[in-house]
Amino acid sequence: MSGRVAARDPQVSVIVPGYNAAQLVADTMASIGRQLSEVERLEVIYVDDGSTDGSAELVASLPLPGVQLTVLRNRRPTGVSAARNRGLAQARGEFIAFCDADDWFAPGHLGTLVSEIERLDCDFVRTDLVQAFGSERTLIRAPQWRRGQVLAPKDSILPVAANSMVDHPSVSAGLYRRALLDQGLLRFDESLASAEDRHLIWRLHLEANSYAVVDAPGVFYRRGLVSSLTQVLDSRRLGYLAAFDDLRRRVATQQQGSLFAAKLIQTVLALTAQHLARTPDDAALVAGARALVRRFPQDVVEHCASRLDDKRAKALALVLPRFGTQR
Amino acid sequence: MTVVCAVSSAAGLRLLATAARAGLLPTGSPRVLLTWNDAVIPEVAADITCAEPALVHFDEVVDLNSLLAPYHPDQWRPGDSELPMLRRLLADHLPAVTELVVSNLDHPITRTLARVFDAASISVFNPSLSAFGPASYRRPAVLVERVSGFWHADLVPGLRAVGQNSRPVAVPSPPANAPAPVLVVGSDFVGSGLLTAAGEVETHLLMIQVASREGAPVLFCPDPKTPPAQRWLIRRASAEAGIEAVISQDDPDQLAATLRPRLVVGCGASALLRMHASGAPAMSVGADVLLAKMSPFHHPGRIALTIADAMLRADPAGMDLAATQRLLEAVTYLMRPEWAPQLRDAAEAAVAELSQDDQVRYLRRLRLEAVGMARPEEPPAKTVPRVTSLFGSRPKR
Repeated sequence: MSGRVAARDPQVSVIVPGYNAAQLVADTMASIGRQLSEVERLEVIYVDDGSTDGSAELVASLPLPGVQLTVLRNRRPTGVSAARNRGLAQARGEFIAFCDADDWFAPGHLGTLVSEIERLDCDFVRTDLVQAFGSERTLIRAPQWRRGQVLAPKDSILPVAANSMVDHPSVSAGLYRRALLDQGLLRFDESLASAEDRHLIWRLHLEANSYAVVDAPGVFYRRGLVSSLTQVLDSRRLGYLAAFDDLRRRVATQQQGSLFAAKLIQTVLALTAQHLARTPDDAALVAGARALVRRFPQDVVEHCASRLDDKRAKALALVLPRFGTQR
Repeated sequence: MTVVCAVSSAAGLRLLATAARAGLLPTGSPRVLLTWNDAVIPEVAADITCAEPALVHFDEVVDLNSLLAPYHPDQWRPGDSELPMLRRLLADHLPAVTELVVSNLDHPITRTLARVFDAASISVFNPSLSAFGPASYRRPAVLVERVSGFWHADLVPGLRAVGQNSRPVAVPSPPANAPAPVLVVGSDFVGSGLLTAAGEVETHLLMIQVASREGAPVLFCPDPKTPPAQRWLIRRASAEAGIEAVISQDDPDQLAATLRPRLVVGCGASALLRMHASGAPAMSVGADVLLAKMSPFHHPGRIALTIADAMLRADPAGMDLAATQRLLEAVTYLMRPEWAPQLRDAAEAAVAELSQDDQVRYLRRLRLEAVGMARPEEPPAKTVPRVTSLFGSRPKR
């Protein structure tokens, strides 16, 4: 290491958590090697979360000329939040990016995000996302039509009834100024078993000062992986309830608290309906969702419930309280 | 007036350069090179224009992947109502296209280009072994009508291509340095739908094991489309087998030219025969196993494996050119009897001449029966077990 050109402070730190990712992480790392024209200004922190497939050795052995690569190892799996936090604690870059071990960036993607965040001088930038299933890809547009201009994060939480930027939860689709890290806003809540990304994006929109949605070459994530959390039906499935309960407390003191609460309820109901469509008899899920919904202001819950279509209202009948005005 | 030369591989580009030097490409109009990369993750794949000395033959390079990003080139399926608009929008780069030069008439993107530039004549310059056999997919008459010439790389000097609508003509090979290390040339079996990732690792391990018996260092040159993770798994499998194979990112042909390998090992890769044609000793490994399991019989990958195995197998000794030619005619006919009726007599004679072992190796009893060429007096050929575990489900469209 000492033989290298004096390690300049990196401009960008990419945090890559990985668990048994040997099959995929080499592609990910190859793409990360193609991000900045001054490649030595890129720091990659790979956090191996207790893998047993040799992926940490693989990453350490990959040829990434010029890149400042750090490989951290957890002896046992700690979860994606703790793994990312461990990487964040070591990050020295002016900007932070996240890339899961099965994501990849198009060449020059981070370079574009860096020039945009510098030009716009905002706290963070978000971008579109591409789902890939083999060579079949789907573009998921960031739900904000104003591009390349600085916006107030809080103004992009609403509307309740349509997708907004808080419904675009992948942290990989963005670049974040390290000041946010120092404010604690980039720290993932390790008590959450899932939905940690939604939780973090919500907190950014509630508390950061400025952001922008920008066009960039592209961030890709693989759909259809068995290990994908969305397909795993284990204790983590209830994690979103805790995440949204915490957000419920956070929005209560906000000026637009009722509207934000409505947005939260809307999301909880949508996610719960998705879960129940797969496992209709999940009593723990129904009980958890029911308890959470009851903690929100009931007039707001009633308003949200009244806007559900019949099919969804029926699916959520056990979750929602009975309102006098309802059939 | 523009000539569009569309390629998706370094080998295709090199063949076009050879053709240009030989005066086979149309002259007088601007030539635009249209490239695309259809690796599963093109964003991390090798750039096909790495064969950059070839670029001097073109006036402009247009990269289709950048035009289509972030979508994958395989997803480009414009509807009929979009074609006139696409033609006008593309006219900035590609005005008045009169000639379309492509590598493979059966590739979906070639077909799309032929729809977009519907008034262009088409020449085919196929760099791979598949040019020697039948079409991979049915070719509509309106497409065939537009083809002004079929050319192929002179991968097996003297071997005539059969089974195409018009007879392909070999592009003479440029003089190459005759052939150190043993070079293993990989293939993208997963991408071509032939094997699963695990099957691909196993087949490459076999090639590397055979190569290592030479007692020389083994240099493994994966197909450019093989993703980095798969390369690493192949290297790990060979390390576990006690073989230290070096993985090269370089273009196999450039390596062969500079390294003069003592042996080139491969499994049906066109590069294997290209190097053999330029004087390197070459050996085909594992193609017989793949052929035994390949289904359906008209799988587009069959011709490459058949030619490579027939000429370069180690045991029994490979066939000579004339015998390979006859085998090619038999296999081509049996793959697509309805498209190549003119080959029937030649095929029948070739089948009669094949040893029982070679019949089992290259043909299928059911196919022979279907066209009335099975030998009734022979005991039934050994049935080949259908092993599917290592194999992909179906050939890529």
